[in-house]
Amino acid sequence: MLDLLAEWARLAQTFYAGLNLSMPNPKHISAAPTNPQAKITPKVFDVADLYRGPVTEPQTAPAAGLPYDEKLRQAYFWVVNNAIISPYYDIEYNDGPNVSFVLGDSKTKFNLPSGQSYSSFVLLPLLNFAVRRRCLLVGGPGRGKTASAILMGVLAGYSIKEVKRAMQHGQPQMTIADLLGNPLPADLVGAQSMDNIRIAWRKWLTMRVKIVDEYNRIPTRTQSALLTLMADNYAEILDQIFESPDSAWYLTANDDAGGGTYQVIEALRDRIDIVVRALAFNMRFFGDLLDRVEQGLKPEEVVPAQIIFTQTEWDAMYREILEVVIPPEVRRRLEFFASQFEFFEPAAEQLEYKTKDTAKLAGGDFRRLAAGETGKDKLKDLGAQTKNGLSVRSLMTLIVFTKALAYFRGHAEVELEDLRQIIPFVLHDKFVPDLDAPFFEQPGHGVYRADRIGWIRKLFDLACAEYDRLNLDKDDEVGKLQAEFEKGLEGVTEAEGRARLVKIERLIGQWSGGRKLYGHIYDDLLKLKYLHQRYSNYLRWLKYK
Amino acid sequence: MPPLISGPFAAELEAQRGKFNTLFAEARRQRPKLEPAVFAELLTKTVTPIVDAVAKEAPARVPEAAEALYTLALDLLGQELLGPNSRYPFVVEAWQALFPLLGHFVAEAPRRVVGALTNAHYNLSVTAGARPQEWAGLMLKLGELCEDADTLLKAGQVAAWRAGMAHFRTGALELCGSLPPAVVRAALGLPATAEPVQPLLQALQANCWFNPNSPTSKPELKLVARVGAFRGFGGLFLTPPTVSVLNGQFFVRSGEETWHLLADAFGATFHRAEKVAAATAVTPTPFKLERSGKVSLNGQSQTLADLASYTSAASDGQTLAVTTALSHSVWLVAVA
Repeated sequence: MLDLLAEWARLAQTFYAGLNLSMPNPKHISAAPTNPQAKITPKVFDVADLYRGPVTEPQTAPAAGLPYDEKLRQAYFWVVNNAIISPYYDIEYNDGPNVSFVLGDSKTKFNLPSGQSYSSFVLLPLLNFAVRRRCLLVGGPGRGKTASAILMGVLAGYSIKEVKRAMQHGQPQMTIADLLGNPLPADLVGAQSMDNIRIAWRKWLTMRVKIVDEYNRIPTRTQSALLTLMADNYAEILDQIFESPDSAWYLTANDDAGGGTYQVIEALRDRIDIVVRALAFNMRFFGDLLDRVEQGLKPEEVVPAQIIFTQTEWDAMYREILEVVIPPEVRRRLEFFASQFEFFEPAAEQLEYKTKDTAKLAGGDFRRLAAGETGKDKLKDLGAQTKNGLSVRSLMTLIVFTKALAYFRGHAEVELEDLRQIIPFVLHDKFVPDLDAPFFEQPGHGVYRADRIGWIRKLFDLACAEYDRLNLDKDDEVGKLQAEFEKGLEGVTEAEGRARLVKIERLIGQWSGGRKLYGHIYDDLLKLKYLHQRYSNYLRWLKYK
Repeated sequence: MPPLISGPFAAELEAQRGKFNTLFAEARRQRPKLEPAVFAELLTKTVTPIVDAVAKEAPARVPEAAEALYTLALDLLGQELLGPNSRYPFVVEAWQALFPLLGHFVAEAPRRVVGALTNAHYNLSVTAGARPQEWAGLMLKLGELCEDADTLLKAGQVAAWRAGMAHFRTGALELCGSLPPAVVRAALGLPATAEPVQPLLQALQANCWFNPNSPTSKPELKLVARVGAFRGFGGLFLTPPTVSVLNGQFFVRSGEETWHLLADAFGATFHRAEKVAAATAVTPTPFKLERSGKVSLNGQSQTLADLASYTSAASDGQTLAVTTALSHSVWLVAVA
């Protein structure tokens, strides 16, 4: 056999030696193109192609270059298509004209959106996951609140078992030790100082997704420990501190009015960033439910690997969300809206203290004070509909979630509609409505006493309408003065400084002639006072110099 | 009603009932034509024997194998690669006859091994000129010789070349160097002895028409293959083709279509290609081809009557490809 192989090899050598290769004339260069034909490169065949075909390897990581917003959308669509039966598209977007119908005695407007719209019950927990804030899922028992929270844990890369074991179940006997951990018994006995007491911290404190089921069943004292953890990311037992990582929180409650076993402390409620309503089950999807029961389907056990976020991806996505731009025209509308609510004219004598906070701190009868407001159109005054204003924390949350929604939609800039859609969910538990306000007595407005989402969206729409009526996009005197100031004081002469002071005083003078005071004017006045002070101090400094 | 699934697969399905049912429901949402009864039958008749084989080799690997085989079977049924509507009988046969005999390798990496071997059967099925049944036979022998899944899959690539996938020649020859001699021999269809394979590989490298299964003591110029046929008879060509060579590669043109032809002693395959320049009837070097059908090379000559009045001829240096007006085939002449 070896001889035979050698003969074949020899033959091959002589074979190639027989090739007729003619040497080209070194003095002649052929004119191009020497071979005018379509240039093709023969395909290179790879033996690895044998094993490539209809069976593909399951993806364990996002395809290279796949943006995280795309991955977030994939996660959303997987959840709505496979995991949570939530056929609601209550976050409506339109691309151009849409079809609307008026239905029923209540003349309910029913929209068929022309743009991609979303189910708040799925989308908002997902956005909360993306921005690692605190989400409250409220609604009757058995509406998928806990299931939704568990899915978020799975998206963070935890197994179902890990998520379920880490979930905290609120109950009346829950102690701080149940929630956070226990001091080691041996240390308790033998320790000479508090520093020597080691704590066996609960494992759930280390997780990126934290779930507290029925948080309104937790005793008040334990709620305080939970508050520290939620608000400041640390737990404390016997002077020992455990630093918890940034986490997306999911709390569930069957009654969003705080009517659980224990009243939820206000500070804890205030730490909740977004409220999601679990809507009722649509009986037209009963077949799907039947399949789940009969076949024991468990979507949370088959979450595709490609929609699971690693810590690095999660962090990168959050950074990208924060980079989404809120353009000035959207920001101004948010400022205008938010400025409506804190001002409360009867609360104090000095303008700065004319706030609902002053009235609240005084502990007086809000209604009695409110009755003192005269002459103002209480329907036009949006501030008259609430008993409180908006905190800085609420505004910060609003900014983050608005950016997250725009990011989810694949946009680098926030649109006004993003803000309009997200506002009701972020401010759901922030506003305390004054149900005695004339607004709620108006025909057709009774529904807003119960419908918090609709009411807050209506508030925003009314604020935008007022903003348009005042033509503030084009005619914003305070805005112009602010822009002028933001250019800096360097190089501003004394004459120029004085001229600006006069402009401020003239503007306030125009408003003082019997014009009614509303929230946005209150903010404008304080801003003008601020500018006036800055210019006055500057002029004083110039004179000294 | 199909017979019930039994054994370790049944136990695994029971233990993960919710998960498996969810996977089916999810697949059915995407492919509403999926029939539970058909899938149940597939699990019973096709998947169960493979899981049983895994259980016999490595009981601890059953959960992973069961899940991988379940998801693969579901996916392949949806794609109509498995099940009663499959248009790929060799894929079905591989699942039913081959995989249960490769339990050791399936246990090692269930999804990777079964996925790769399924893809291989699919590719062999859709490549004109490839011989999937022969490949399955070689894999069975290789299963007895290979120690692990990686070796089996590499040897499978060499065997695919042996089973007619001529376009894998270069890659397969490279792989031979990294495999044990006995495995290389078995992959090439030779007795699995431990003799050094270097001389064999050199001979294969030197002449693509060297066939180790039927080596001739005195190679001579002759007609080595006739490839391609009329589309009406299961071939590729609607009109008699012409052949040309570009960058040392054969391109066959028939009507408006162009095909890349790769051929050697183990087989010939055609692959769709872009258009190339029209073929010529000029005698290609180093061969000489006369109108009478006489072919000459390095002092050897042979008259092949079928090649008389040829319409095109081209050579890659080692093989002469010729077409005629009366045939839908390409005639290949070489020293072999």
